[in-house]
Amino acid sequence: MSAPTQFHVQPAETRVGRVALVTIDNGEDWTKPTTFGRAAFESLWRALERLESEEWAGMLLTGKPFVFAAGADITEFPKAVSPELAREGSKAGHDAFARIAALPYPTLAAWNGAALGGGVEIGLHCDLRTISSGVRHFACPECFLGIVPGWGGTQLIPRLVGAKTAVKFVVVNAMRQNKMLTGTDAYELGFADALLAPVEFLDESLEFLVRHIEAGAPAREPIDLSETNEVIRKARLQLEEQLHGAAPAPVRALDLIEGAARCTVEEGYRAEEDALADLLPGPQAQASIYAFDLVERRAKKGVGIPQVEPRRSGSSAAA
Amino acid sequence: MPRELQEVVFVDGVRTAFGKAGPKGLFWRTRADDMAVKVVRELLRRNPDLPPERIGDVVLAATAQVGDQGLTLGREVALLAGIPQTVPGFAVDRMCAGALTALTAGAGEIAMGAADVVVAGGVEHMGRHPMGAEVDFNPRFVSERVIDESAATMGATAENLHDRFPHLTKDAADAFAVRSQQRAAAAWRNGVMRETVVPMTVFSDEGWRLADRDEFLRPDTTLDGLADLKTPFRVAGRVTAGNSAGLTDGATAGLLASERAAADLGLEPKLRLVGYAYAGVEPELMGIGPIPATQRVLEQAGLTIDDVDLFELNEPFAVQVLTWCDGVGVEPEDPRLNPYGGAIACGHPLAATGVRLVAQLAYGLRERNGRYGLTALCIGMGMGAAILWENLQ
Repeated sequence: MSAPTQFHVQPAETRVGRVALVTIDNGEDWTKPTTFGRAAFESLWRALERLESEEWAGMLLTGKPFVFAAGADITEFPKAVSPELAREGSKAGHDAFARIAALPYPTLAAWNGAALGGGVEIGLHCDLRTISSGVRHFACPECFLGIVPGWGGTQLIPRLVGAKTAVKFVVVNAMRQNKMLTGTDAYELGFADALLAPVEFLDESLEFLVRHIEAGAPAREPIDLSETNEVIRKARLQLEEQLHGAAPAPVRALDLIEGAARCTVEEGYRAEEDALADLLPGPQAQASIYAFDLVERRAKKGVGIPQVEPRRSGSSAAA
Repeated sequence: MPRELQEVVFVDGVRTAFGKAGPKGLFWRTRADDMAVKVVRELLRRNPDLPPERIGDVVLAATAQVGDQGLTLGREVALLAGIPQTVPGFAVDRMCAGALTALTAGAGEIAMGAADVVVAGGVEHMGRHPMGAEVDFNPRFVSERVIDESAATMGATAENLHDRFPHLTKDAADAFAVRSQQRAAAAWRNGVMRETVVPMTVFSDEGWRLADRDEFLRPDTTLDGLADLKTPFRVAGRVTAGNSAGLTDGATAGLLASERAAADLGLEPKLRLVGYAYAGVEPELMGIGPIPATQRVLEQAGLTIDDVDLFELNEPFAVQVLTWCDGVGVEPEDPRLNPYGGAIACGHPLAATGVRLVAQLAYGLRERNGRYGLTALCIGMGMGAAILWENLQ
């Protein structure tokens, strides 16, 4: 059990004024990735109060060394989740992340390490993104777990990189044994504004933000989503061939991405909440999450092995 | 074949901010080698005309050559900094004069024609490596009275200086410390620190922070405030935390080149190395070391102390600087001496300090349009180091 995730806020004096360095950290080393549970959101709310009430020139969001954030804390999912609880969990992320997006100064997510699910989504709510060429795990694995990205992913990813890449990232990769991207891949697909070497990643990310502020923050060109319907139509056909209707989650994800082309972000958030309320309590999501936890956590911990160090044998070994 | 000696020039020098050693310090969770990588990369960034493959050697100093300072630092840091594999590197140790020794070792390579360009600097993470913690002191030192026992504790050697030179009082030391703090505070308001200190983001238990300012600065220090501080090295002693440099984490790196290579590459040299000297003294009075070193280097150059326009001395202890002032005939208040404050205000990460002195000297000589400048340090186990420079700016 990891320590609860905290959002630390530290001021940094720069050429353009005081920039908030926000770190997502669970106080553990890289073997225990940072996740978002209830305590993390409580900490994020406290951080947001500071970010909203004090004078800042900008904000940089990053993770502890080697890990940005690995998304929702699935160990906090109750055994029997109700549709209401699922909706609430999704809404909590939407509300908090929307406050990041609404901050009145330039914000930058510095993806310094593994960014999965919610770790990707929180970064999408910043104005700018840098990514380290040392990143090896960048993905939205939700469809792989029988659910959909529920903290803005299905809405903001197509708006950032276009429908075609969004489908590949959210649906196709997840259905290919949870294929993940490297930092270089993610940059080339348009997820980040800069690809930086790990050696001085954060220093250079801060410099990137400061230069952006100095240059007067030109708005990013809105992406062309006119081909969305065509992209989704083809994706549906391919998915149907692959799954024959066996899994509802990826189909639902396609619906949501399709919706991103014609509805507001707010409406998209509500649609994600509806989707999670339907999917998360369902048998496929529950089975997937159980299996994922079994493989990723319990099996690695070695169930049944007592938690004691092996003792050294006394003198010489017996032949 | 007749050998032609090369003139050696100092091109540039940078340092990290200096942090307090220990769990509350800025760099507690930052590796020493990562700090060195930062300053080496900054040096290359600031001198884009230097193709990294032209570097002939990377010489880095550390007093504790273990752990994250243990993998023959110059080579390790060169690789981690992304310098081509064809560039060699090594580590040196002469305690407090580590970085100065790295500079003179590099200068030797350049003068001999063995290298055109050398990166030289040092790092000391005294939080991870407290001085002497990993040393196995030979019992013969004490049993055969090879050195006095007090020589192993730097603070005790400073108390010895007060004993030997009773006219150098605690009041005089405190007054020097107050001046150091005031001058450092002023220096942070003008350009010298902006030019020589590179900010670095560091991870901490409270998230990432920006290490961009020395942690030891206490601009509000007063004589009254210093009067009653504890004297940790002797009951009713004279050396306090207020009139000595704290335990520090920091890294520095400087760029040396032959005069010819600097011209070829379009580098802008700041200083020419005129000469250098190391000297040995009684280990229990290690603080007097810079006196004979200074005298020797002036003699080499045929100069007197009055010919020198600027002095950058390390300040491990205020009384140590006072003994040097006394020994070479410079007033402690002299505006030529440590115009930007010293280690009492900014800290002294042992093997890193030398390049800080040279970088500040270069800035100071340019500001004053001076000709000669001297950098000097005392060294544990009873030594002194002095390098004489000529301004080229």
